[in-house]
Amino acid sequence: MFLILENHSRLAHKNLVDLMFALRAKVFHDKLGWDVNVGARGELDAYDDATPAYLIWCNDEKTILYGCLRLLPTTGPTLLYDVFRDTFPNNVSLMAPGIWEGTRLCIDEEMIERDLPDIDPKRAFCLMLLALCETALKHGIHTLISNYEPPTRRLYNMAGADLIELGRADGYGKRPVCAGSFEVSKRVLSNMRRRLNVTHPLLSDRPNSVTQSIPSGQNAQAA
Amino acid sequence: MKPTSLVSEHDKFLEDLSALPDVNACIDAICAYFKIEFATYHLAFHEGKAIDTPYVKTNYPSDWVRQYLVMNYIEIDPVAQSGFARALPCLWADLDWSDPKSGTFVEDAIKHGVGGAGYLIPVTDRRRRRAIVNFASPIDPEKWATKIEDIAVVLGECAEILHRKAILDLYGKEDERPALSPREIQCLSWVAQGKDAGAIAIILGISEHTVRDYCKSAKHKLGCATLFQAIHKATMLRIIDSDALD
Repeated sequence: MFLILENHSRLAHKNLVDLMFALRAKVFHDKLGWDVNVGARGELDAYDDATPAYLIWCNDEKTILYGCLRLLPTTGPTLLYDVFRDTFPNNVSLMAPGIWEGTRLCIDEEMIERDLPDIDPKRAFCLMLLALCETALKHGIHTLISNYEPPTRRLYNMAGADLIELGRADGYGKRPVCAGSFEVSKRVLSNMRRRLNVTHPLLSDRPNSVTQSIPSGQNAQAA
Repeated sequence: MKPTSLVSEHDKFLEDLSALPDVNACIDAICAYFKIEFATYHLAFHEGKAIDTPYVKTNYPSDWVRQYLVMNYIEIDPVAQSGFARALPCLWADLDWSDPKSGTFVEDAIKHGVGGAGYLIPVTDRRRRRAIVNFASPIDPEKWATKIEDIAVVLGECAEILHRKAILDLYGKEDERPALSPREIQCLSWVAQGKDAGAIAIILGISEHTVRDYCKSAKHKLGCATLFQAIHKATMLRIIDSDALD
Protein backbone atom coordinates (compact mmCIF):
# COMPACT_ATOMS: atom_id res chain seq x y z
CA MET A 1 0.00 0.00 0.00
CA PHE A 2 1.01 3.58 -0.58
CA LEU A 3 0.38 6.02 2.23
CA ILE A 4 1.29 9.48 3.41
CA LEU A 5 3.09 9.72 6.70
CA GLU A 6 2.74 13.14 8.28
CA ASN A 7 4.88 14.31 11.15
CA HIS A 8 2.21 13.84 13.84
CA SER A 9 1.88 10.14 13.01
CA ARG A 10 5.61 9.43 13.01
CA LEU A 11 5.52 7.99 16.52
CA ALA A 12 2.61 5.72 15.68
CA HIS A 13 4.56 4.43 12.70
CA LYS A 14 7.98 4.35 14.29
CA ASN A 15 8.70 1.03 12.69
CA LEU A 16 8.19 2.41 9.16
CA VAL A 17 10.22 5.51 9.95
CA ASP A 18 13.13 3.38 11.18
CA LEU A 19 12.94 1.22 8.06
CA MET A 20 12.91 4.34 5.93
CA PHE A 21 16.07 5.85 7.42
CA ALA A 22 17.78 2.46 7.12
CA LEU A 23 16.76 2.12 3.47
CA ARG A 24 17.97 5.63 2.70
CA ALA A 25 21.36 4.79 4.24
CA LYS A 26 21.54 1.65 2.13
CA VAL A 27 20.60 3.41 -1.11
CA PHE A 28 22.12 6.88 -0.88
CA HIS A 29 25.22 6.20 1.21
CA ASP A 30 26.14 2.61 0.46
CA LYS A 31 24.98 2.23 -3.11
CA LEU A 32 25.10 5.70 -4.71
CA GLY A 33 27.91 7.04 -2.54
CA TRP A 34 26.21 10.37 -1.90
CA ASP A 35 27.72 12.71 0.64
CA VAL A 36 25.05 12.09 3.30
CA ASN A 37 25.37 11.55 7.03
CA VAL A 38 24.63 8.10 8.33
CA GLY A 39 24.20 7.59 12.06
CA ALA A 40 22.84 4.89 14.30
CA ARG A 41 19.29 5.54 13.09
CA GLY A 42 20.24 5.50 9.42
CA GLU A 43 20.40 8.39 6.98
CA LEU A 44 18.59 11.48 8.18
CA ASP A 45 19.30 15.20 8.15
CA ALA A 46 17.94 18.51 9.43
CA TYR A 47 15.14 18.47 6.86
CA ASP A 48 13.68 15.38 8.48
CA ASP A 49 13.13 17.56 11.56
CA ALA A 50 11.47 20.31 9.53
CA THR A 51 8.01 18.68 9.52
CA PRO A 52 8.17 16.98 6.14
CA ALA A 53 5.56 14.55 4.86
CA TYR A 54 6.68 11.15 3.60
CA LEU A 55 5.26 9.03 0.84
CA ILE A 56 5.60 5.43 1.94
CA TRP A 57 5.19 2.19 0.02
CA CYS A 58 4.86 -0.76 2.37
CA ASN A 59 3.03 -4.05 2.81
CA ASP A 60 -0.50 -3.99 4.21
CA GLU A 61 0.78 -4.97 7.64
CA LYS A 62 3.16 -1.99 7.54
CA THR A 63 6.07 -4.21 8.54
CA ILE A 64 8.02 -4.16 5.29
CA LEU A 65 9.07 -1.04 3.43
CA TYR A 66 9.31 -1.05 -0.37
CA GLY A 67 9.92 2.61 -1.08
CA CYS A 68 9.89 6.13 0.34
CA LEU A 69 10.20 9.80 -0.50
CA ARG A 70 10.31 13.07 1.46
CA LEU A 71 8.08 16.03 0.64
CA LEU A 72 8.76 19.62 1.70
CA PRO A 73 7.05 22.87 0.73
CA THR A 74 9.43 25.24 -1.08
CA THR A 75 8.07 28.16 0.95
CA GLY A 76 10.01 26.75 3.92
CA PRO A 77 13.61 25.55 4.22
CA THR A 78 14.39 22.94 1.56
CA LEU A 79 17.35 20.75 0.76
CA LEU A 80 17.68 21.79 -2.86
CA TYR A 81 17.53 25.49 -2.07
CA ASP A 82 19.84 25.46 0.93
CA VAL A 83 22.32 22.80 -0.09
CA PHE A 84 22.39 22.88 -3.86
CA ARG A 85 21.87 26.59 -4.44
CA ASP A 86 25.61 27.20 -4.68
CA THR A 87 26.36 24.26 -6.90
CA PHE A 88 23.45 24.45 -9.27
CA PRO A 89 23.35 27.51 -11.48
CA ASN A 90 20.96 29.22 -9.09
CA ASN A 91 17.91 28.14 -11.02
CA VAL A 92 16.88 25.47 -8.57
CA SER A 93 15.69 28.03 -6.08
CA LEU A 94 12.04 27.81 -7.11
CA MET A 95 9.94 28.88 -4.18
CA ALA A 96 6.16 29.26 -4.12
CA PRO A 97 3.06 27.69 -2.62
CA GLY A 98 2.09 24.86 -4.96
CA ILE A 99 5.73 24.01 -5.74
CA TRP A 100 7.05 21.22 -3.52
CA GLU A 101 10.34 19.42 -3.20
CA GLY A 102 10.43 15.63 -3.32
CA THR A 103 13.80 14.22 -2.26
CA ARG A 104 15.34 10.94 -1.10
CA LEU A 105 13.18 8.95 -3.48
CA CYS A 106 14.27 5.33 -3.23
CA ILE A 107 13.03 1.76 -3.37
CA ASP A 108 14.15 -1.45 -1.71
CA GLU A 109 14.92 -3.62 -4.71
CA GLU A 110 15.63 -6.73 -2.65
CA MET A 111 12.37 -6.59 -0.71
CA ILE A 112 10.39 -5.92 -3.85
CA GLU A 113 12.02 -8.83 -5.65
CA ARG A 114 11.26 -11.08 -2.70
CA ASP A 115 7.64 -10.04 -2.06
CA LEU A 116 6.47 -8.62 -5.38
CA PRO A 117 8.33 -10.65 -8.01
CA ASP A 118 6.08 -9.39 -10.83
CA ILE A 119 7.33 -5.85 -10.34
CA ASP A 120 10.84 -5.18 -11.62
CA PRO A 121 12.87 -2.34 -10.08
CA LYS A 122 12.21 0.09 -12.94
CA ARG A 123 8.48 -0.39 -12.66
CA ALA A 124 8.68 -0.13 -8.89
CA PHE A 125 10.37 3.25 -9.23
CA CYS A 126 7.74 4.35 -11.75
CA LEU A 127 4.95 3.31 -9.39
CA MET A 128 6.49 5.49 -6.69
CA LEU A 129 6.42 8.40 -9.16
CA LEU A 130 2.79 7.70 -9.97
CA ALA A 131 1.89 7.60 -6.28
CA LEU A 132 3.81 10.86 -5.90
CA CYS A 133 1.84 12.49 -8.69
CA GLU A 134 -1.43 11.31 -7.10
CA THR A 135 -0.34 12.67 -3.74
CA ALA A 136 0.60 16.03 -5.19
CA LEU A 137 -2.60 16.43 -7.17
CA LYS A 138 -4.64 15.58 -4.11
CA HIS A 139 -2.91 18.25 -2.01
CA GLY A 140 -2.87 21.35 -4.17
CA ILE A 141 0.64 20.88 -5.60
CA HIS A 142 1.19 21.83 -9.25
CA THR A 143 4.95 21.32 -9.56
CA LEU A 144 7.41 18.88 -8.01
CA ILE A 145 11.13 19.51 -7.80
CA SER A 146 13.45 16.59 -7.19
CA ASN A 147 17.04 15.47 -7.43
CA TYR A 148 18.28 12.38 -9.22
CA GLU A 149 21.26 10.87 -10.99
CA PRO A 150 21.33 11.29 -14.78
CA PRO A 151 20.36 7.69 -15.67
CA THR A 152 17.26 7.95 -13.49
CA ARG A 153 15.77 10.51 -15.81
CA ARG A 154 14.77 7.68 -18.15
CA LEU A 155 12.52 6.29 -15.45
CA TYR A 156 10.63 9.57 -15.10
CA ASN A 157 10.06 9.55 -18.83
CA MET A 158 9.08 5.89 -18.75
CA ALA A 159 6.53 6.75 -16.06
CA GLY A 160 5.11 9.56 -18.21
CA ALA A 161 6.36 12.39 -15.99
CA ASP A 162 8.00 15.00 -18.20
CA LEU A 163 11.00 15.78 -16.08
CA ILE A 164 12.74 19.02 -16.92
CA GLU A 165 16.35 19.30 -15.84
CA LEU A 166 17.00 22.60 -14.05
CA GLY A 167 20.65 22.00 -13.33
CA ARG A 168 23.26 19.49 -12.20
CA ALA A 169 26.12 19.43 -9.73
CA ASP A 170 29.28 17.35 -9.43
CA GLY A 171 30.99 16.21 -6.30
CA TYR A 172 27.96 15.11 -4.34
CA GLY A 173 28.19 11.45 -5.30
CA LYS A 174 30.01 9.21 -7.72
CA ARG A 175 27.93 10.64 -10.52
CA PRO A 176 26.55 14.13 -11.06
CA VAL A 177 23.32 14.87 -9.21
CA CYS A 178 20.64 16.67 -11.19
CA ALA A 179 17.70 18.74 -10.07
CA GLY A 180 14.58 18.74 -12.17
CA SER A 181 10.94 19.64 -12.06
CA PHE A 182 7.81 18.03 -13.35
CA GLU A 183 4.31 19.27 -13.79
CA VAL A 184 1.48 17.81 -11.76
CA SER A 185 -1.95 17.95 -13.33
CA LYS A 186 -4.85 15.69 -14.22
CA ARG A 187 -3.39 15.46 -17.72
CA VAL A 188 -0.03 14.24 -16.39
CA LEU A 189 -1.71 11.82 -14.00
CA SER A 190 -3.81 10.19 -16.72
CA ASN A 191 -0.74 10.05 -18.97
CA MET A 192 1.22 8.28 -16.24
CA ARG A 193 -1.61 5.84 -15.53
CA ARG A 194 -1.86 5.00 -19.21
CA ARG A 195 1.88 4.48 -19.57
CA LEU A 196 2.05 2.27 -16.51
CA ASN A 197 -1.19 0.49 -17.22
CA VAL A 198 -2.64 1.37 -13.85
CA THR A 199 -6.38 1.98 -13.73
CA HIS A 200 -7.11 2.71 -10.08
CA PRO A 201 -5.60 5.09 -7.51
CA LEU A 202 -2.50 3.69 -5.79
CA LEU A 203 -2.73 5.89 -2.75
CA SER A 204 -4.63 4.46 0.16
CA ASP A 205 -7.63 6.65 1.07
CA ARG A 206 -7.74 5.27 4.54
CA PRO A 207 -4.28 4.11 5.55
CA ASN A 208 -5.81 1.75 8.08
CA SER A 209 -7.83 -0.23 5.59
CA VAL A 210 -6.71 -3.05 3.34
CA THR A 211 -5.95 -1.83 -0.18
CA GLN A 212 -5.98 -3.31 -3.62
CA SER A 213 -3.00 -5.26 -4.83
CA ILE A 214 -0.58 -3.51 -7.13
CA PRO A 215 -0.85 -4.43 -10.79
CA SER A 216 2.30 -6.00 -12.14
CA GLY A 217 1.69 -4.34 -15.49
CA GLN A 218 3.48 -6.88 -17.66
CA ASN A 219 1.76 -5.34 -20.67
CA ALA A 220 3.00 -1.90 -19.86
CA GLN A 221 6.54 -3.23 -19.62
CA ALA A 222 6.32 -4.77 -23.06
CA ALA A 223 5.09 -1.50 -24.53
CA MET B 1 -4.81 23.10 -26.19
CA LYS B 2 -2.96 24.44 -23.19
CA PRO B 3 -3.58 28.04 -22.29
CA THR B 4 -0.48 30.08 -22.83
CA SER B 5 -1.47 33.07 -20.70
CA LEU B 6 0.51 33.82 -17.56
CA VAL B 7 -2.46 35.48 -15.93
CA SER B 8 -4.78 33.29 -13.88
CA GLU B 9 -8.49 33.98 -13.66
CA HIS B 10 -8.01 34.78 -9.97
CA ASP B 11 -5.23 37.35 -10.45
CA LYS B 12 -7.46 40.38 -10.13
CA PHE B 13 -8.85 38.99 -6.88
CA LEU B 14 -5.38 38.17 -5.51
CA GLU B 15 -4.21 41.68 -6.35
CA ASP B 16 -7.18 43.21 -4.52
CA LEU B 17 -6.62 40.81 -1.64
CA SER B 18 -3.00 41.77 -1.18
CA ALA B 19 -3.97 45.46 -1.10
CA LEU B 20 -6.31 44.98 1.88
CA PRO B 21 -5.15 46.45 5.19
CA ASP B 22 -5.20 43.42 7.49
CA VAL B 23 -5.83 39.72 8.04
CA ASN B 24 -9.49 40.17 9.00
CA ALA B 25 -10.27 42.11 5.84
CA CYS B 26 -8.55 39.38 3.82
CA ILE B 27 -10.56 36.66 5.54
CA ASP B 28 -13.83 38.42 4.67
CA ALA B 29 -12.73 38.96 1.08
CA ILE B 30 -11.67 35.33 0.58
CA CYS B 31 -14.94 34.03 2.02
CA ALA B 32 -17.00 36.35 -0.17
CA TYR B 33 -15.03 35.55 -3.34
CA PHE B 34 -15.07 31.75 -3.01
CA LYS B 35 -18.49 31.58 -1.29
CA ILE B 36 -17.00 29.94 1.77
CA GLU B 37 -18.60 30.57 5.17
CA PHE B 38 -15.63 30.58 7.50
CA ALA B 39 -11.90 31.14 7.37
CA THR B 40 -9.34 31.15 10.19
CA TYR B 41 -5.68 32.06 10.29
CA HIS B 42 -3.72 30.68 13.25
CA LEU B 43 -0.01 31.32 13.75
CA ALA B 44 2.20 29.22 16.02
CA PHE B 45 5.29 30.92 17.31
CA HIS B 46 7.28 27.78 17.79
CA GLU B 47 7.72 25.11 15.24
CA GLY B 48 5.43 22.13 15.60
CA LYS B 49 3.95 23.16 18.94
CA ALA B 50 0.51 24.37 19.84
CA ILE B 51 1.09 27.64 21.56
CA ASP B 52 0.51 29.73 24.66
CA THR B 53 0.02 33.12 23.02
CA PRO B 54 -2.02 32.42 19.94
CA TYR B 55 -2.36 34.79 17.02
CA VAL B 56 -5.76 33.85 15.64
CA LYS B 57 -7.94 35.73 13.19
CA THR B 58 -11.31 34.33 12.21
CA ASN B 59 -14.78 35.21 11.06
CA TYR B 60 -16.46 32.48 13.10
CA PRO B 61 -19.41 33.87 15.11
CA SER B 62 -18.17 35.24 18.43
CA ASP B 63 -20.36 32.89 20.49
CA TRP B 64 -18.62 29.90 18.88
CA VAL B 65 -15.17 31.43 19.42
CA ARG B 66 -16.10 32.03 23.07
CA GLN B 67 -17.41 28.48 23.44
CA TYR B 68 -14.24 27.09 21.81
CA LEU B 69 -12.07 28.98 24.30
CA VAL B 70 -14.26 28.25 27.35
CA MET B 71 -14.39 24.54 26.58
CA ASN B 72 -10.69 24.57 25.69
CA TYR B 73 -11.57 22.73 22.49
CA ILE B 74 -8.10 23.33 21.12
CA GLU B 75 -7.06 20.35 23.23
CA ILE B 76 -9.35 17.96 21.37
CA ASP B 77 -9.93 19.64 18.01
CA PRO B 78 -8.19 17.34 15.48
CA VAL B 79 -7.68 20.28 13.13
CA ALA B 80 -5.67 22.28 15.66
CA GLN B 81 -4.06 19.20 17.18
CA SER B 82 -2.61 17.73 14.02
CA GLY B 83 -2.59 20.86 11.86
CA PHE B 84 0.70 22.25 13.08
CA ALA B 85 2.41 18.89 12.69
CA ARG B 86 1.31 18.45 9.09
CA ALA B 87 2.98 19.52 5.91
CA LEU B 88 0.36 18.82 3.25
CA PRO B 89 -2.98 20.59 2.94
CA CYS B 90 -5.90 18.23 3.54
CA LEU B 91 -9.66 17.98 3.88
CA TRP B 92 -10.96 17.82 7.43
CA ALA B 93 -12.65 14.57 6.45
CA ASP B 94 -9.19 13.01 6.05
CA LEU B 95 -8.16 13.85 9.61
CA ASP B 96 -8.51 11.34 12.42
CA TRP B 97 -11.90 11.90 14.11
CA SER B 98 -12.00 8.53 15.84
CA ASP B 99 -11.47 9.86 19.37
CA PRO B 100 -14.90 9.99 21.14
CA LYS B 101 -13.98 13.42 22.50
CA SER B 102 -13.86 14.85 18.99
CA GLY B 103 -17.42 13.55 18.53
CA THR B 104 -18.60 15.74 21.41
CA PHE B 105 -16.72 18.66 19.89
CA VAL B 106 -18.35 18.15 16.48
CA GLU B 107 -21.84 17.93 18.05
CA ASP B 108 -21.30 21.21 19.83
CA ALA B 109 -20.00 22.81 16.62
CA ILE B 110 -23.13 21.72 14.77
CA LYS B 111 -25.26 23.11 17.60
CA HIS B 112 -23.52 26.46 17.06
CA GLY B 113 -24.22 26.30 13.33
CA VAL B 114 -20.58 25.86 12.32
CA GLY B 115 -20.33 22.12 11.71
CA GLY B 116 -19.63 20.72 8.28
CA ALA B 117 -16.76 20.42 5.92
CA GLY B 118 -13.35 22.05 6.04
CA TYR B 119 -9.97 22.31 4.39
CA LEU B 120 -6.71 22.76 6.26
CA ILE B 121 -3.62 24.42 4.77
CA PRO B 122 -0.40 24.34 6.81
CA VAL B 123 1.92 27.27 6.06
CA THR B 124 5.68 27.06 6.55
CA ASP B 125 8.02 29.96 5.91
CA ARG B 126 11.79 30.22 5.60
CA ARG B 127 12.12 31.25 9.23
CA ARG B 128 10.39 28.00 10.16
CA ARG B 129 7.35 29.80 11.47
CA ARG B 130 4.24 27.72 11.09
CA ALA B 131 0.63 28.68 10.68
CA ILE B 132 -2.56 26.88 9.77
CA VAL B 133 -5.27 28.33 7.61
CA ASN B 134 -8.69 26.73 7.66
CA PHE B 135 -11.63 27.15 5.34
CA ALA B 136 -15.00 25.73 6.34
CA SER B 137 -18.60 25.59 5.20
CA PRO B 138 -21.63 23.83 6.68
CA ILE B 139 -22.17 21.81 3.50
CA ASP B 140 -22.02 18.19 2.42
CA PRO B 141 -18.40 16.97 2.60
CA GLU B 142 -18.62 15.38 -0.88
CA LYS B 143 -19.71 18.66 -2.47
CA TRP B 144 -17.02 20.44 -0.48
CA ALA B 145 -14.31 18.07 -1.71
CA THR B 146 -15.26 18.76 -5.34
CA LYS B 147 -15.29 22.50 -4.74
CA ILE B 148 -11.87 22.41 -3.06
CA GLU B 149 -10.32 20.31 -5.80
CA ASP B 150 -10.94 23.15 -8.25
CA ILE B 151 -9.55 25.92 -6.07
CA ALA B 152 -6.88 24.16 -3.97
CA VAL B 153 -3.94 25.87 -5.71
CA VAL B 154 -5.37 29.40 -5.45
CA LEU B 155 -6.42 28.79 -1.82
CA GLY B 156 -2.75 27.96 -1.18
CA GLU B 157 -1.86 31.39 -2.54
CA CYS B 158 -4.53 32.99 -0.35
CA ALA B 159 -3.08 31.23 2.71
CA GLU B 160 0.31 32.68 1.78
CA ILE B 161 -1.13 36.21 1.57
CA LEU B 162 -2.83 35.79 4.97
CA HIS B 163 0.50 34.70 6.43
CA ARG B 164 2.29 37.70 4.94
CA LYS B 165 -0.35 40.05 6.37
CA ALA B 166 -0.04 38.45 9.80
CA ILE B 167 3.76 38.80 9.83
CA LEU B 168 3.40 42.44 8.79
CA ASP B 169 0.82 42.97 11.54
CA LEU B 170 3.02 41.33 14.19
CA TYR B 171 6.46 42.61 13.24
CA GLY B 172 5.60 45.82 11.42
CA LYS B 173 7.65 44.85 8.39
CA GLU B 174 7.96 42.10 5.84
CA ASP B 175 10.68 39.49 6.02
CA GLU B 176 13.76 40.04 3.96
CA ARG B 177 13.12 38.21 0.74
CA PRO B 178 15.49 35.82 -1.01
CA ALA B 179 17.23 36.85 -4.20
CA LEU B 180 15.76 36.06 -7.59
CA SER B 181 17.58 33.50 -9.71
CA PRO B 182 18.83 34.35 -13.22
CA ARG B 183 15.99 32.38 -14.84
CA GLU B 184 13.38 34.14 -12.71
CA ILE B 185 14.82 37.50 -13.73
CA GLN B 186 14.84 36.50 -17.41
CA CYS B 187 11.22 35.34 -17.28
CA LEU B 188 10.03 38.50 -15.53
CA SER B 189 11.92 40.63 -18.02
CA TRP B 190 10.31 38.93 -20.99
CA VAL B 191 6.87 39.22 -19.41
CA ALA B 192 7.59 42.93 -18.97
CA GLN B 193 8.29 43.02 -22.72
CA GLY B 194 4.82 41.65 -23.33
CA LYS B 195 5.74 38.04 -24.09
CA ASP B 196 3.41 35.24 -23.05
CA ALA B 197 4.43 31.89 -21.56
CA GLY B 198 4.58 30.16 -24.94
CA ALA B 199 6.90 32.76 -26.44
CA ILE B 200 9.16 32.85 -23.40
CA ALA B 201 9.35 29.06 -23.40
CA ILE B 202 10.62 29.14 -26.99
CA ILE B 203 13.05 32.01 -26.34
CA LEU B 204 14.59 30.34 -23.28
CA GLY B 205 14.28 26.78 -24.54
CA ILE B 206 12.31 25.60 -21.53
CA SER B 207 8.74 24.37 -21.08
CA GLU B 208 5.74 26.63 -20.60
CA HIS B 209 5.05 25.02 -17.28
CA THR B 210 8.58 25.88 -16.12
CA VAL B 211 8.16 29.47 -17.31
CA ARG B 212 5.06 29.65 -15.16
CA ASP B 213 6.95 28.16 -12.21
CA TYR B 214 9.75 30.73 -12.50
CA CYS B 215 7.16 33.51 -12.64
CA LYS B 216 5.32 32.15 -9.60
CA SER B 217 8.56 31.81 -7.72
CA ALA B 218 9.64 35.35 -8.63
CA LYS B 219 6.25 36.63 -7.49
CA HIS B 220 6.57 34.80 -4.19
CA LYS B 221 10.12 36.00 -3.55
CA LEU B 222 9.13 39.60 -4.25
CA GLY B 223 6.14 39.22 -1.93
CA CYS B 224 3.68 40.06 -4.69
CA ALA B 225 0.27 38.58 -5.34
CA THR B 226 0.33 39.00 -9.10
CA LEU B 227 2.82 39.04 -11.91
CA PHE B 228 2.09 42.67 -12.73
CA GLN B 229 2.90 43.72 -9.19
CA ALA B 230 6.06 41.62 -9.37
CA ILE B 231 7.18 43.29 -12.61
CA HIS B 232 6.49 46.70 -11.15
CA LYS B 233 8.42 45.96 -7.98
CA ALA B 234 11.32 44.31 -9.84
CA THR B 235 11.57 47.35 -12.10
CA MET B 236 11.53 49.77 -9.16
CA LEU B 237 14.22 47.72 -7.42
CA ARG B 238 16.19 47.61 -10.68
CA ILE B 239 16.17 43.83 -10.61
CA ILE B 240 14.99 43.73 -14.18
CA ASP B 241 15.95 45.86 -17.13
CA SER B 242 16.55 45.21 -20.79
CA ASP B 243 20.06 43.84 -20.11
CA ALA B 244 18.56 40.82 -18.44
CA LEU B 245 17.24 39.65 -21.77
CA ASP B 246 20.64 38.70 -23.17
